[in-house]
Amino acid sequence: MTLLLIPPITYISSLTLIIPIIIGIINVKTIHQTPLKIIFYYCFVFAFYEIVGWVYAINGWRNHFLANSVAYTDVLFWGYYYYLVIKERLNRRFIVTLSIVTLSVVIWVHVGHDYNRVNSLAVSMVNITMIIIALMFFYQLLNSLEVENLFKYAHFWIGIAVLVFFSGVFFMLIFADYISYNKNKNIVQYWYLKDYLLSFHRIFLGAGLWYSKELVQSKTSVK
Amino acid sequence: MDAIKMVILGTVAMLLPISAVILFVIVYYHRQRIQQKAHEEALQQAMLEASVLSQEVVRRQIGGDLHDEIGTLLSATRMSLALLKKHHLGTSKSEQLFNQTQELLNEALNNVRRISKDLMPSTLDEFGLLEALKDFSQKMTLHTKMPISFVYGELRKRYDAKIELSLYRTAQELVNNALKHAEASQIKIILFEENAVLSLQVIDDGKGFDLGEVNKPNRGIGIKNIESRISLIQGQIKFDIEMGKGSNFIVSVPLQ
Repeated sequence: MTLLLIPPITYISSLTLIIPIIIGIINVKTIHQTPLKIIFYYCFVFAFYEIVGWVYAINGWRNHFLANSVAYTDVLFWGYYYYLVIKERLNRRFIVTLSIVTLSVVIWVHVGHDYNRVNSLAVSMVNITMIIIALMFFYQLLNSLEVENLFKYAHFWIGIAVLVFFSGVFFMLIFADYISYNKNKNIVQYWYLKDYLLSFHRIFLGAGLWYSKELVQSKTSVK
Repeated sequence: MDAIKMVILGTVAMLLPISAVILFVIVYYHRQRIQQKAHEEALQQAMLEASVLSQEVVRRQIGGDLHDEIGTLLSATRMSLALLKKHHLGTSKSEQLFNQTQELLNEALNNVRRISKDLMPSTLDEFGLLEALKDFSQKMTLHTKMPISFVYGELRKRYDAKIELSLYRTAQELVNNALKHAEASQIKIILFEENAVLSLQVIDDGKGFDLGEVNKPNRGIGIKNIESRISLIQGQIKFDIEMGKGSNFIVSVPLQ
């Protein structure tokens, strides 16, 4: 979401959200699987965050509470998505447990703290959770070998989107609190990086939704 | 080092191993898929060969049965008819020849019925897998003097024709294998349905065998044939075999 207006990269990163949304609308008939529907709805939730972020940023209001709200959205959406995508019962239980623990930690650190301040502990905890779950998915992918062509597999692209974004912004968010509260004007420099990663994240999500067709076609041949 | 440099270095330090992981997943997956494909192709080839060989075995068996049993009986009938032609009708000799010819024809007819029944058991067609396996185990016990018991759970009256035939043939093949090679003192056939999966189990207390030997090329056509049959109905076969400890085959077929 837009926390800082840094033209043109903020425009570009915000605009890239249109990619998965348009692809999702085009492929709406082939997005039968619940996990893909979740990703599609996730894009709409983010569109809402973007609009709110922009409105606040244009008016010069502090919008850092959005980063905290996104932490909840990420755990709920991605936790549920991977709960459905990962097949092994034990791993699913692990995802549920990890998501509950993460949510509890996020709620705990937010209680009694300024919600309009990016909480590094909460967001980095969410990031670690997402990285672990995405790696679990790739491990399952390597073990099952069910997919004919990896590059035409929707969940593969979505997995890349998760790994690249959450690992890329990990360090940024750890220091977000420190930098913004020390009134370091160089914050702008590294916020560029986050917007680039966000753009890649959304492009990869778009690729995932694009290959939803292949998922429908291959479903008939899978035993 | 200021915070900005640390953030940039940290981001790069995170992105590099993640990129390496993604690259590894792509390369490793691609390699594994190629290996898996080659393995599947080899397996399919082996199954195809087994299927062709098994057809050949059946043809030879039918040919042999026709030649040895029907052919011999028909030759005897022809000779009998030729002798009958030489004798005047109404005499005791002709009466005897007539009866003999009739008996030969009856025997030939019975043999034709038996061969056709072996090829496609009518019980399976008319009454289903349960009755066919009951009939099969009873007849085999009678003919071979080997106790072949049949145990079954709660079953539907009928299943898909393809599933019934495949499981029946599998049971036949496994029992025949046990009779020929296992030196068993008893054979047990179990049929049951659980959680929409139909399972057939054939157990014997014989000498067992080395599965590695069977998997060698040009060996174990029977097993490959069973695997081929079961794969056609999306089923699975598990072996629990050890030298000297009998064998246990479990075939599971999903019913949905």
